[in-house]
Amino acid sequence: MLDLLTLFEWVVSISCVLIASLIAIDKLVIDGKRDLHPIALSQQSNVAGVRRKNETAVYRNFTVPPGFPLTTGLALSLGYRIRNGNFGDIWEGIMSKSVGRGIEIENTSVSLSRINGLAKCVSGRLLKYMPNDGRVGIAVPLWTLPGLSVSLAALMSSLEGVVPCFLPAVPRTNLKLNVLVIDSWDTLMMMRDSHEWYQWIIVCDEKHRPPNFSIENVVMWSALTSDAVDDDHFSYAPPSDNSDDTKVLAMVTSPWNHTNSFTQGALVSSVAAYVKSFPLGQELTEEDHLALAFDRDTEKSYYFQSWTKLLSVLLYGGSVSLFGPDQEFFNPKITLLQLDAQNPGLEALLQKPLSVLQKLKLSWASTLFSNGIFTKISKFDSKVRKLRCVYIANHARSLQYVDELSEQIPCLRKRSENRLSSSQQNLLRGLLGSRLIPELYSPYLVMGPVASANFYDYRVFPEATDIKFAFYGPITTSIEAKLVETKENPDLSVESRQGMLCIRGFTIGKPVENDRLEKAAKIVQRFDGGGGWMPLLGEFCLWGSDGCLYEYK
Amino acid sequence: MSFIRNLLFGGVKTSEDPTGVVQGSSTPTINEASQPIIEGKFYPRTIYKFNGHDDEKIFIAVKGKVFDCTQGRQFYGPSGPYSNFAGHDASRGLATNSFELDTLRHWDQPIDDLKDLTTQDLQALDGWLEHFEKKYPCVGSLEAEPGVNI
Repeated sequence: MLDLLTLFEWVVSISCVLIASLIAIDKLVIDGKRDLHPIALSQQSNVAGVRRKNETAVYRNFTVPPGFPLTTGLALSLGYRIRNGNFGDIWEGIMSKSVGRGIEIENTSVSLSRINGLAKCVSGRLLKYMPNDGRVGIAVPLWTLPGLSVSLAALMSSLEGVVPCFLPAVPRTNLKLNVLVIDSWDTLMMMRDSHEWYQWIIVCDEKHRPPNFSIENVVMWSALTSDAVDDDHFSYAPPSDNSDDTKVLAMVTSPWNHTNSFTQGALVSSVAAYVKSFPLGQELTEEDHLALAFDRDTEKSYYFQSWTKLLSVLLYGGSVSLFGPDQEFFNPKITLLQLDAQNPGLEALLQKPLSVLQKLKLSWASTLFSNGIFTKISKFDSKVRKLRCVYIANHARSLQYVDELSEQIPCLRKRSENRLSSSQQNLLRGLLGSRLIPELYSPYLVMGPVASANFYDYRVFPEATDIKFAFYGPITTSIEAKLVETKENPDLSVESRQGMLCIRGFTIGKPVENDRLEKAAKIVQRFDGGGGWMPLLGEFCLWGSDGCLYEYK
Repeated sequence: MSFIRNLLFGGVKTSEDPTGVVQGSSTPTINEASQPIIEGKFYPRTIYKFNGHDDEKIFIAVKGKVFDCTQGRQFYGPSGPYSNFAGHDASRGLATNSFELDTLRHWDQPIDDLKDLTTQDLQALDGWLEHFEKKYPCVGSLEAEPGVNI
């Protein structure tokens, strides 16, 4: 009897110790291991205390309090003045530490001095033979050496008045371009008589050149760059009136044949906002290696968008790899990866068969991530051993409405394309052993993302929320945003923080065509009398109580 | 305990729904206290209560614009150096750099038209307006109430 009592006391004591240990682990250890406290995750925006009748309050990123300026540029000094900077400042900074660094293009490393030499050579030709405000149409993929070099050459020339135009395809109408850069002879053959629209056509690939073919205004890439030499120097001195900072950086044409222009300010704002998005202790360093993975369906919309991250990483001494469609982008060197949400590689990764042990590790990793704890225990391959952050780019819905600036506002309907749910995002975090940041882009209207999740936000939302909404985190620091009521969607109420997204900031483009400019003025007037708000037509969202943007799926 | 359970048996911690959309309902739950104020029209009578004492919020009118100065409670709140301005049109006081009560109008008096102010006073007032616009959110406009101020 005595033994039984002792045994009972032992069992009770051990149970008490066990329960106390579990509670201590749950409350103390887990709390101490979290990357970000739940309170910080629940307050990711600064919300204005006032709103207009048919609008929500204005939301800003938590790091930009009301009354403080949005991120406008690089904050460089010009004497005693502060200036925002431009492409010249960034490229000068990059080339100042270019020795021994390069960009991997199609799995071949090309030194920065080679790329700079090619770009300077092409830029020299453009400036010599083109009018001061000439336009260069670029219809070659950015992930090829000619595509990258000619784009850089055009961006360098933008400081002298030349306007680079990023095109989704070879134009079928006369866009009044002076120079057109195309990928191959096959493309040239398909252009028929439209080659007469251009002063020059630069053909990048010499394969399939027909014998005895001669058009006067066609120049081969190899001939154009025959005297290019490696050059690790680029110098830029801003004029005393700082006029370069307001020049046009580039124009971007959408697949619906509408063009928006972006100033140098858009580039430096988006670069500065990206650099500032890294938390303390996780900043960009020269150890970083960015991989930009383009896929067949969406690559063209990201030729222009890619510059933000590409230049930022190079500016901090890092290196970059460019991968075209169907190229394997997981690589032991990469630390940062940018890809589209529709990239087939993501779906393949989620469907990847795993061993029992891997499944168990992934389950643990998911549990840890959902509790706010970062872990690398379930990395699927050593190829991603250095990977520290993956950016998943998502297009805004109804891009065509946004682009056309139509007065007809669409009704909210369920979209056809899939968005990754928060639980799928956590599985990817586990498999890649890295942070994962979903981003929202309006690729032809805004340079850089509109909204981007916090580096440390690994929350898993209830299934009902995931079914209805896509999560994008707070608005980026170069933009402020609000949601507005539309009569076409009476079910969305601004009192409940629902409505159509309107943005204001320094990374937004301006329509080039006069009719679209008039339409833009009208539509801007409709949503705010002269406040400079640009509506993203058809982009219906909700502000969460955490200050984050949730898009209706 | 849920962490250990999830770790042992598989599962994730689901965060609270920040959208407020619960199953079967499309309307988010709203915390009334955290709702932003709707920008609108104020009369001297209606702005008066926002003096930091009768209502927690502090509204001050400058040149016809009403600003929410609740964040500057240490200046404009009860027992602050400029508490007289709270819930009033402070234009004359700011223009003449005077915190006296006689620079303010009662809610049932006509709105001060500031016509007797000197150019220097008006310039000073413009400077204050710029300061308020930078520092505090504008919540609406101050207008004369028919039958009371007109």
